[in-house]
Parts: sequence; structure tokens; C-alpha cells
Amino acid sequence: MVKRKINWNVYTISALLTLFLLLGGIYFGIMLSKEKIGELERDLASLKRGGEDVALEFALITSFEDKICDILFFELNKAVADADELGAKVQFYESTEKMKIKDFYKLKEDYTLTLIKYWFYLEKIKTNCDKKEFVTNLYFYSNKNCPDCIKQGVILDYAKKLYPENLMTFAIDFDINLNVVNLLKNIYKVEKTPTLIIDGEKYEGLVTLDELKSIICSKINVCKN
Amino acid sequence: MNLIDIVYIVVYAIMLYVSLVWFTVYFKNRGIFLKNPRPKKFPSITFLLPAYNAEKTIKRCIESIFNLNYPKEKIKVIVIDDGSKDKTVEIVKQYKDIVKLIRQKHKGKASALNNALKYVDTELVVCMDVDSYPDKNYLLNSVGYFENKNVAAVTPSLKVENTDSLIRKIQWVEYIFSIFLRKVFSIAQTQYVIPGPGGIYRTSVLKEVGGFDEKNITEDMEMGFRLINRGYRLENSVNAFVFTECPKDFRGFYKQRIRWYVGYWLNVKKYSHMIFNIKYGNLGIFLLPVNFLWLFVLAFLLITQIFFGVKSLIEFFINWSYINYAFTPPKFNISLLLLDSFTFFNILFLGITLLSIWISIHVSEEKIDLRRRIKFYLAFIFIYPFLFSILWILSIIYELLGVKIKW
Repeated sequence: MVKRKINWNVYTISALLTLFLLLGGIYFGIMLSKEKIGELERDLASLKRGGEDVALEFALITSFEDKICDILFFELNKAVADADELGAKVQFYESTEKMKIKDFYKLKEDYTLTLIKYWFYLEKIKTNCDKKEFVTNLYFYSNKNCPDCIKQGVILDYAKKLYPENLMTFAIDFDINLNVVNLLKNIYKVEKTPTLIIDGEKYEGLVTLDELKSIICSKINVCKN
Repeated sequence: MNLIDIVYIVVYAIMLYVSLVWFTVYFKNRGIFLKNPRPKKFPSITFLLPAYNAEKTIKRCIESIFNLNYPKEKIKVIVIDDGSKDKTVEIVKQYKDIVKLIRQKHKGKASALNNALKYVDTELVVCMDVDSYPDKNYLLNSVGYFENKNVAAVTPSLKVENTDSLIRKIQWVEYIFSIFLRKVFSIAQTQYVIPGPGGIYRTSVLKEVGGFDEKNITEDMEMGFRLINRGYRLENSVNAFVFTECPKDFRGFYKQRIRWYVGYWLNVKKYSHMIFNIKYGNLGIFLLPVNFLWLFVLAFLLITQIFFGVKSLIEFFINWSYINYAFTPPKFNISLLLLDSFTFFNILFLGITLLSIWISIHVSEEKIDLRRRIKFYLAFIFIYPFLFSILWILSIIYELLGVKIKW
């Protein structure tokens, strides 16, 4: 019987290398997670800066003339598009990131506050200007036990493509703990998700694409088929 | 992090560890990888060619044996006709001065080999399939190993020559990859298969252990295990090439692999005392246990990939139905958000795969030849893992259910 080799040193070297690479991969993931928050924070900072700009403009104006309304609406429309893009990123991060760090929750609160500001300014334009060709939509969703929220999200995303300048959706996490969100929930008596507040009117439960289309069409005059 | 992520990390750790063990063996032995012991003498050798309806290939096989770079007077050839119904016998009779012909009723390969073993009086004996043929330096690169008295068998490197179908293209890469792996296994003394075409045995040992097991569906693997069990060593010559035929279509491939893999489980059952047995070295404490781990790894990867694949497909169609199947152009955003730890591991494994193909090609004396072989590599990387996993898992299911597999 020949004596058979056991290469303990090979097993040890490989174990150390494996450990090194595994930890490397996990470390890479953690560093990335910070970088991702960094990317979101940069986007949020520019969104907030735009918000301050608009706030100042609103403070400066004394009357809502047509020309001023046009300028304000143009700026807000652009800001809402940016907010949507960031919102998609935040949502993606929230649903895919395995190692969420604390900073994320603060970022999400900040983002929600900015969103509500924009919603508020758009409401103001709506009441003070002659501009009537858009609807605002506060969309309360939840990431916990809300299968209909996934459907509603898909429908709203598509609706935004159909009515890019006419439907202004602001997606608010129902579970986020912010005073202003609690206040809005109280004002509109929002108790479950999904709930849409379209131009101040409440729609509880899933609103299908066809229903959404007819709601929008009943309020403004830009319906496409 | 949830449970499935943790299992993923464990699975990646196992795959990484096993790959690194083999790479470490390779890098530590790079110097001797392609070198064979120079033979001090040329031992006499008999080629056994079991032939069943082999009129198309037998001529090529016999001629290449007599064209080997080896003293002609040291080579004998015995063809065992296993009840062929075609012109095999007539063709063999043309060589009656140099080839001995034995005829038997159709009983299978192992029986044919045992039948002929009685007539073998040379030091060494080769079992060769007639659809295969050896490269010119096949013997020169192999016989030196037999100067070590503990060596009972030397395995060759198999290459697929005919690559006219997708399944054969995949196997071309697989066989090349196996050349690398077989040598690494042999250096670590964990080699347990002596391939059907081209395995060289020490005649006295083959007779001593009683010839091939005629009831075993993978008699070449059984012989490997038996020789190890008896305390002999198996060696491999990486540049003793044998060109062989492989199944052309999926059906043939499936049949062959199920036979091999179920054969593996049967032999593991027969030699289960080797598992975790330090007496059997790296084979006992590493390779055999690792093959069980692979089963878990492959099953996990296959099931999760299929599950998540199907799930996202279904979700896609359900979501699509909410917007009444309206066409929306997909948007691709390049963003950091798409990367995570698993991106790192996936790139790592792609790297490991490419590196092992590259080393395999290098040790097999082939060229990468991307222009001609890009399809081969892509099919190997993207299709082979699925085929292999499915067949490997099926084989254990067949074995557990006791499904009878025939040669």
C-alpha cells in the first residue's frame, strides 16, 4: 500500500485565500453601499437647491401674472421630473440593497420633505394661476404587505409616460415618520394603501389604468386615447 | 441580509475554496505539469480493441497504433469482435499478420476485455476504443511512469476531434478542461477514473485484481477505485493524447452522462469506506466529500436560478398586464446602484472560469483561436453548467430511486 498524499498546506493556503476574497467581496459591497448613498445624496442636494430657488421665487412675487405662472410651472415641471428619477433610484435602492445603512433613512425623509414642498408649490400654482392643464397626485404607498402598491406603481409609471406634463405624482411612504406626512394623512384621512389624492380628492385602493385615465380626463382637457 | 443571501455566500465560499485548492495544486506544480519521466526502456505492450460494428473507424485505429513513435516489435494488437454484424471482421482480417482476432457473442466491452486479457503476455496493456485513436507520442509520453513499481495505470488526455454539433462543441471545451483537471487530480493523487479509450495498465496488476467488473456500468471508473483500494497509484500523462468520438446530439449525451454519473454513485457506494478516510489521502478527505458538497451547490444554484428566473418573468408579464400590454421602451440607467457584493463574486467566478479555460488550452497544446472557437467557449460557459447540474442531480435521483441504467 502506497502512502497517499494529504496536502495540508494547499488546504490552508486556499482557505486563507478564500477568506481573503470573501471578506474582500463583502468589504466591496459595504464601500459600494456608502458610494450609492453618496450618489443619492448628490442628487437630493441638487433637488433641494432647486426647491430653495422656487421658494425664494414664490416669496418674491406679488401677483401671479400669466408670464410668471409660465416660468414657475416650467421650473416645477423640470423639478418634478428630477424628483421622479431620484424617487425611482431611492425605491430601487430600498428594494435591492442588502446592507442598508442608517444614512439611507435620513435621506429618504429629506427626499420626502422635498417632494411635499414641490407638491405644495404646484397646488399654489393651481389655485392662483389660470394653469389648469395638470393634476397633482399624492400617492401613499407602503413597502410592507401591500401587493396592490406594486401594481399601482407600475400603472402610475406608465401614466406618467402618457401624460408627462399633466400628471404630477408624488409618492409618499405611508410608514415614514414625519410630522408633515402625518398631517397630510390626517387632512385627507388616509388609512390604508394604496391611496391616491388627485387634486384633493381621495381614491382608496387600487386605481386601474382605465380608471386613472378617466379621472384625469374628467379634470383636465388633454386626453389622449 | 436574509437567509438566502447567507446560503449564497456559503455556496460561493465552497465554490471558491474548491477552485482555489485545484489552482494552488496547479501553480505549485507548474514545473512538472507537462513533464513526464523519461523511459529508460521500452516495455512490451498489447492494445486491446473491443469492436462492435466498427467498420467505419477500426482501420484508422489500427493504423495509428502501428504508426506510433515506439519500437514496432514491442507492440501487439488484439481485436475482440463483440458479435459485429457489419464488415468489422473482414477489415481486421486484412491485418492478420500483425493483429490477433478473437470473436465472441455480443456480451459488452468489459467481457470482451476480460476475454482477451488471457492472451496478453506483455508487460503493459492498453484498452482502446475503436472509435478513438492515439497521437504519435502517446506511448513515449506515458510508459516512463511505470518505472515506479507502485504505478498500476497511466491515463491519457482525451480530445474531441469532431465538433460538428453544438453538443460536440461544448464537449470539445469540456474535454480540454478535463485534461487540466485530470492532471491536477493525478498530482494530488485523487484521480479515480481511467478513461475507456487509452488507459494503460500494468498487465500483472490487472490480472491480479481479476480484470474488469462485467456488471459495472462504468467499469473503467470501478477499476480506478479498485486499484486505489488495493494500494496502487494512478498517474496521468498530460501530453499522451488520444482522439475520441463523443455523442453528437443531446439524447446520446444524456444517455452517456447518466450512465457515467449513476456509475459514479454506484462506485462511491461500493467504496464508501474511502470517504473521510485519511488512509486514502486527498481523495478520501477532500475529493469524495467535495463531490457531495457539489451536489448541494449545484442543486441550490440550479433551483434558485430557475426559481428567480421564472418569478421575474411571471412578474414582468403580470406588471405588463396592469398597463394593458402597452409597449414601453425599456430604460437602461447605468448607475452604481446596480452593483453589489455579488457583482464582485460574479466577476470573480467569470475570471476563474476564463483562467481555467486558458490554462486548459495551454496545457492541451491547443490554441485559443477565438475567431473559430468563440461559439465553443460561449456555449461552454453559458449552457454547460446547466446541462451538467441537471444531469448530475438527475443521476443521484435515479440512484436513490434505484432506476436501472444499462451500458
